[in-house]
Amino acid sequence: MKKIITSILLIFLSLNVFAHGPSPQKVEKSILISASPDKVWAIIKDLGSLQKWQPLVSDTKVEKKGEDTFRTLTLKSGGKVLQRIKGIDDAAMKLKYEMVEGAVPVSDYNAYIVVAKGSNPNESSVIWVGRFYRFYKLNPPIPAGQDDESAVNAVSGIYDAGLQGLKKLAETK
Amino acid sequence: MTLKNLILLILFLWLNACSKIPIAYITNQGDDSVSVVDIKMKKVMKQIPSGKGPVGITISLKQSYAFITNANDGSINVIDLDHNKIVKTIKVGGTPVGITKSTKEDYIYVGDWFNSEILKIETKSFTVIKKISVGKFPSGMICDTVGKYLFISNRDENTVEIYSQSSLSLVKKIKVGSHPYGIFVNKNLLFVVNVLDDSISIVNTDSFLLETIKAGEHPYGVVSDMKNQFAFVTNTQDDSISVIDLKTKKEIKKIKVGANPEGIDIDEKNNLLITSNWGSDSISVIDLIKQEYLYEIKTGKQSRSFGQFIKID
Repeated sequence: MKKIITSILLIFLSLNVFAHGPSPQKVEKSILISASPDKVWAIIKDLGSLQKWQPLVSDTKVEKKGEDTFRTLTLKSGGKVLQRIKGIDDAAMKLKYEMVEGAVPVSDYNAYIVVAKGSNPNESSVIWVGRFYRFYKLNPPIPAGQDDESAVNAVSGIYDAGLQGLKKLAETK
Repeated sequence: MTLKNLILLILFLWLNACSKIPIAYITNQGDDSVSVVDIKMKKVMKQIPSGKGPVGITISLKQSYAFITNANDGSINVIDLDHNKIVKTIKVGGTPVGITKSTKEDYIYVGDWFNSEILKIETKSFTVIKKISVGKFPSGMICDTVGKYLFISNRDENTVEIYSQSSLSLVKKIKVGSHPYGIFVNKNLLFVVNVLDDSISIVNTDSFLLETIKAGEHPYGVVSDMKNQFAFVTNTQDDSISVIDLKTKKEIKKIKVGANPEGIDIDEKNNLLITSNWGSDSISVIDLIKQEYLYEIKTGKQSRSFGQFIKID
């Protein structure tokens, strides 16, 4: 019986993972920080310390599985988010990651955060861009809280809070 | 040379020059518009407001129309290529995404994503004359050059279906890789990207035999040149194009383009390859022979242009 339930669950899960609507959503946020790009990049690159600047996160755990690096975030609101780190590019100061699963109403979420030079050596511009689909991947009607708008609002909230937190930490002398 | 001949020569050259300007029609899903882009002048000539969520496109030179699928309001916009304005909106309902013209350009075929159906629309009357059920979540669609087959990739069942263009009866169903999306055909080779496998499948349309070649990360679109020497694949998660040598069956080069390139189209007359870039709201123009990046042109928001989008006279 246990096996049957597990396989039903697996089928359900795989359906969820592999189907989505045809309209990808985008959130792009940026912030100017009065700190050098090197300093800001060092904070972002420190994968296990996200809770130091992302106020929505209480704990971060980084794990290596073969070639892949995963990061599990514990959210203050409850729930967890599992991310896979897709690339850390020191030359471009760019971190790429995807969400494997988690308590955010999105699906097929891919994002990057990049640090660029500001107008002087002690200024940085940070850009955070996410591409994802709404949580509900089948034909309408769409259940409440699983539509495009809910997905965009959730991601916008995460980026806004994170960038403010990043600015605060990086500008602390 | 007489003056009359000279005038004729100038007129001829001028007309010739006019007809060779490549124009790209770019669907912008993020701001519900179609950008009409002059590739040589490197600018948007016109931004045409479309239906909601424009994604797919096919261009019929014979009818002088571009057809746009609007995934978010279930409609097809018909754009007059001479005046660059919408002359008709066909309400089809559902979620139209993939679109292609028939070989003779007397019909267009439209895929309804969620309902897993294909619609046949007459280009003369703009009416749906037939509807059939196909595999799960039809996405890429294309017709061959001899008028025999219509090819469809069905994303959520990992298949390609081959239909008779005239009767819309199923000829063959072939298993490909995971999440087939963009599709292209040239001569007897059918190209399909497998999004979740980072690869393309190439199906021989005579023998229906298949082979798989590695591409870049999360590929969406594919085209090949007339001689089938190279295939060009957009890698959405790597901001690049893979150049695949079809003789050695290997990727020989990656060309960096804008962010999240999705659509790709080829214009051999003008030696161009163009990608539409969802992430950077732009198109990238590439020198086809040199296989080198040329320049970027800003378009509308979240440019997709899923299908054939260059108007080549």
